[in-house]
Amino acid sequence: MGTWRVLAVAGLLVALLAPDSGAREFDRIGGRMLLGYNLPVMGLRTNWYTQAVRWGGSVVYNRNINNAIEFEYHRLEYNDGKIENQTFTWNEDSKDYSSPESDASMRINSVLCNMVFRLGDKSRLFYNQATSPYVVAGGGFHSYSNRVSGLIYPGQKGIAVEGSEQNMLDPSVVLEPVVESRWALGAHFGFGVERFMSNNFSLDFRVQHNFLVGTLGPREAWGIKGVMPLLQMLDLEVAVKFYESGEK
Amino acid sequence: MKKCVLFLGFLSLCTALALSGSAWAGTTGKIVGKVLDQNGEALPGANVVIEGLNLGSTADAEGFYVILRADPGLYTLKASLIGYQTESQTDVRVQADVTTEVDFTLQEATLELGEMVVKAERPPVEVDKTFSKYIVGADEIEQLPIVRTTSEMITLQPGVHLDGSDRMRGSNRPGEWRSRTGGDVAYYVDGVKIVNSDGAGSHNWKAINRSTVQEISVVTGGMNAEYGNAQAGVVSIITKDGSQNFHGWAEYRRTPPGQKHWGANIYESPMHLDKMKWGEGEWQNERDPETGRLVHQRADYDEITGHEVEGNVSGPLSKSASFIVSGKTARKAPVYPSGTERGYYDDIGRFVPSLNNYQGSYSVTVRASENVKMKIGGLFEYNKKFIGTDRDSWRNERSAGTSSGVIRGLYDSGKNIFLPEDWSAAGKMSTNHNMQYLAVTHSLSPRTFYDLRISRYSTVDDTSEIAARTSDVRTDADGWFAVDREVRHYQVADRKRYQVKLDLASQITKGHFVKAGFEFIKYSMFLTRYTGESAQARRLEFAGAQGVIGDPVKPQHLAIYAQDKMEFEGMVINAGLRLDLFDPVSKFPASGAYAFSPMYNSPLRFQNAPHREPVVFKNLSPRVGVSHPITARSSMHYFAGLFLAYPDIYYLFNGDWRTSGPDQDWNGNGAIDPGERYNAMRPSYPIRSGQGTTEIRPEKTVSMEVGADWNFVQDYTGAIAVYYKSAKDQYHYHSDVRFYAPHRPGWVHPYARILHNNGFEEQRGLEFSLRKPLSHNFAINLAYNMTWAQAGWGNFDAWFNFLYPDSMYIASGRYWYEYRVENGVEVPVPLTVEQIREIGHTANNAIKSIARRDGNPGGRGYEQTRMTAREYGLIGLDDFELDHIHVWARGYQTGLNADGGNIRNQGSVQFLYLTPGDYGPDFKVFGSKFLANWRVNLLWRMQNTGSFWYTPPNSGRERRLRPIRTWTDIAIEKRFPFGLGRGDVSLFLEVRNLFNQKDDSSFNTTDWTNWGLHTARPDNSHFLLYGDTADRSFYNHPRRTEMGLRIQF
Repeated sequence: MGTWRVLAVAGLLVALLAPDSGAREFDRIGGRMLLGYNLPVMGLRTNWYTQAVRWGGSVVYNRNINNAIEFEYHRLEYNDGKIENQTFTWNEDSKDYSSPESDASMRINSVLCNMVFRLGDKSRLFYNQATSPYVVAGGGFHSYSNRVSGLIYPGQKGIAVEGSEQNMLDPSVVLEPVVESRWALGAHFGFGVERFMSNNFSLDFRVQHNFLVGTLGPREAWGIKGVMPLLQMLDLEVAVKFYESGEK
Repeated sequence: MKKCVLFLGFLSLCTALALSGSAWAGTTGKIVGKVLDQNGEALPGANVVIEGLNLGSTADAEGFYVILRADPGLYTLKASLIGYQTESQTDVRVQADVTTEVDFTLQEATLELGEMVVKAERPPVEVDKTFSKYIVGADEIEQLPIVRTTSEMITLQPGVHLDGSDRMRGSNRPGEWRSRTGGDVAYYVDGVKIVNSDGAGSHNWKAINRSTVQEISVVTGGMNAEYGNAQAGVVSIITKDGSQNFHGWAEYRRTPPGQKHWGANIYESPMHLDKMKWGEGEWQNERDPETGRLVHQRADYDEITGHEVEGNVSGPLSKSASFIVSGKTARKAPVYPSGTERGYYDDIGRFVPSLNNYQGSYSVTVRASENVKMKIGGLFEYNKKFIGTDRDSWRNERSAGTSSGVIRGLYDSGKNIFLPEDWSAAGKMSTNHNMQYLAVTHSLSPRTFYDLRISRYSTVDDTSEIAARTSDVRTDADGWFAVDREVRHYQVADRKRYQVKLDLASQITKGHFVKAGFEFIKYSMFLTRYTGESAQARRLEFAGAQGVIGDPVKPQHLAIYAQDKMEFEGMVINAGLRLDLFDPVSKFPASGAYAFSPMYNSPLRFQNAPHREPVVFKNLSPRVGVSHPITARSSMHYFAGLFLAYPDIYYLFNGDWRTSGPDQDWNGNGAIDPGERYNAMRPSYPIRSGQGTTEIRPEKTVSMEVGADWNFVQDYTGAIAVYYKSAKDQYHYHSDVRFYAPHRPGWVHPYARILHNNGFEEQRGLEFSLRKPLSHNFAINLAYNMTWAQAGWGNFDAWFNFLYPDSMYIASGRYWYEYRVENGVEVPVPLTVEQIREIGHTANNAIKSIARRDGNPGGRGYEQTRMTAREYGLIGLDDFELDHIHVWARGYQTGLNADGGNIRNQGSVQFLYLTPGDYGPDFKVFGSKFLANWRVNLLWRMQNTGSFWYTPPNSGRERRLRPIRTWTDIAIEKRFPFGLGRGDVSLFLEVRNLFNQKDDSSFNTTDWTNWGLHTARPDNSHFLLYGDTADRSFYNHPRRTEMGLRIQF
């Protein structure tokens, strides 16, 4: 819910700031600040995380009326690891146990290059209230780091209990934290629409599907499957774009 | 060297005799097109020539012209006709076995006009491509200097395995356990096959300096009929010809000191547990009482600087002759302490500790006339190392170094880490590859030519400084770390291959390009390996003619083929047929079972066992491919073909013998003479005591592929292919043969395993590539392959074969089980009358006891049949033996022992960016604009690291994938042109494993699957005390930086 609030406030601010003028120069540079809602999909969602806020920025270069290049950095962090709420069955007594101190989080820093291909009528680009739909595709490197800690070791024999043949699980025997990290090559594609508020300012809404070549190892004792070779996620994103002046 | 000179002399003589007048089949391309006027009318008689090659053609009545036998490269093509303006098309790219189409439209001119120059457009797709093929030209190799070897460049092509294991699309590596062949990929250099089917599983040698490569063509989806003895694909490497101007190229590369592995310094590694006692004076100052040497000395293996030099020179010898010579040597630092603290990275990136190493090539090209091109050349590689370190000779050599006290390294749980530097207990070994060839192309007419190639390729392994004996293992005072000792180990192998290949090619009509020819290979090989595993245990493995050590076997292989490339309007059909005849020549044992008979159970005795004439394999393999355009920028292709592979010659003739006692001094002279050597050896039991086999067929793969190429925008071309391969009759050591010795009726008779055709494999896959050649200052190549693979053995054709002598055989004097020594030689002790009676009785009872049980109950039954050797069809026995040796043949079904299948992913991305020569502000460094002439190479690779069995708690076992590994390299280079562009000097910096990626190579897969563990379990006592003992076990080495200088003129 908090994420949506942030997005709504950002959108409102951007709309209020929109000046009203027009220009038709395309060979120019701009900046883009983005805020997004990230939804893991496929194995990453089923086994690991459900959502994150993504934020970042990019430098935009409008090559011509048809396309633009963006050099983007963004960052996100998942903090809602499903494994934190999962239980394992201890072989010694066949009972299920949870790991109260467990923690799973994944941080992704991405450096990307996007190609934006504009669609439809391009005659009013950079005019106030002009709308420009586009498709976007690109690739780059995503540095991810997935850390899981605090899991009670299910392979333990437990500790002896006086007067009982049955050992008791020792919750202090935990697995060492495991960090899986990689600079993963990734590709993405999507579509969006840019709404010009002035000749050098616009609002940009984008939906984008991301593929990262990477691995998250399994933890089948907790019912968590591994994910490989692709980690996939969907982005719903709003951005503000500022362009250098179109007057030359 | 003398032999090389003699052979080159012989080649020259052959040439002189053969020539009366250039392109090699498979090594040259074809240019076709039309010459029209501005109205679209044909211009018969127009001349089209390739500048600089002295090749040309005249347009026929329809304006059609064809130029055959053009060497790969970039050319200018010129069309002219009197009365018309001459037109030149530059940057015409010719590729081997590819038809390049170049059309001309000449403008009528009444006045003498200047030449019209047009830059040829690269064809969006190759419409004559009937199977997946990827071609890399010299210009692309030059633009990607981060790829340092020819082999590495090959691995980056779609479908080729990235690990350099000579595999394509899930095929087998040479000598793989389920396919004892020379490998599934055939390699050719300048049309000469690099024969590998005699190397006992050696990887294919292809140490060809990349700076001399003109073109690499990688075929993964099928093969023309001219290629054979391979089931997956073919790689054809064409080397550069010498130039008519002097050119040179040289590169020096420096690797700074530093640790090249993960984890702690080896001398402080957790792997040693509590055995390292640094700081304890007594331990640290301990001296070997025998040698006085300080026992615990650290090697400064991480403080060594690496150097590598490669270069080539080419130039004219005369107007029609030119030469090129190249060489490369390296002195790199080892990753871990090793026998010697220097070495080199071999052609597939493995570090080989080596005393010295060099590799190179040389060639002289003579264009004797317009119709004749001749190339005499050679390739060589030499390295010498301490025994125990080798990884590229034949398969098991390095096992000598794995035992205690042989060579410094990590073997034997790190106990060998303090052994001396520049030393091996077993001496030194050298490997020498040497190939010489002559290639002649002679045009018989403008549309017909032939290629003749004669070659000799030898691989020689030899051992020096051999120890006289194997002494006991010695250790330090703690009884843990090994101290030097003597190990008797030697290896001698001499593999020679003589080849003649003749190809006749003719553009019979406009639509038919027909090729036919033959390839003849004569082998001569022997291989002997002796390992004194301990003072008592010794092992002898060898391949020799009729079991004679050092006597070469000389199989021969003849292949005849014909193929027709039919190029019609809108469709290309490429069909061919190949006939292979493989003759092992040398005799085989009638049955490997004789090695376990009491009469023939040593290497010397076995030579007298019944032998048979070899079987000659005769096999046909048809292939057909079709391609057709869909649009002007897209095409599709379809291919189906049968591919065969014969066994590695070593596995046809090998023997494997062991003993735990000393050889016997028969003549009592106090020494083991040559005639007494190995007399205590007995057949190795039960593994692969092959003793040769002929009861086999060639391996067989049916391959099918559908693919499409699409030039979807600008010069971006994507290719996709789906394929299915079904491999049957794959070799597998499974069945066994035994000899029943009736004098030991209660004995469990050992058996020999021999090659058998009961392996199978199946692969389905998807391959994708994206290519954008260099334009707009950047280039991208992307390759991805996903293969679903399944393999296994069994179900069909599995059998036992037990030999039983009867009482008549026992009484015939052919059976004995004791020897005595007379005059220094052993002679059999004949059976007594009583023994004959008793043993004969036992023998007959044993034969009678063989139950006859036919049928196949439950799908896993067997049938047992008793018959005489004559009825069975055992070849090589005399008439008496045929009737008195009985065979118990047990055919049975094993069920399909498939490995469950797995998915293999791999991919790579190559990215190149360069700045133009005049880019940026006018700020100059050494005469070059600072921002100009920069080149950036980025190379990313990804690969599955294999699969494993996992059993979930509530279901049956499943095949699971190990994690992927990825690695990224980057190279940044600044070029400084000099001499008005006649040459340039480059400074470069390369960073390997840019992101310091650390992918686990060694972990417990069950613990990883259950708990995500990469290290030992948290309650593991060693882990708790010492930490992770496998702290260095990762695929990628830590980030490594290299820098260097490159010069070319």
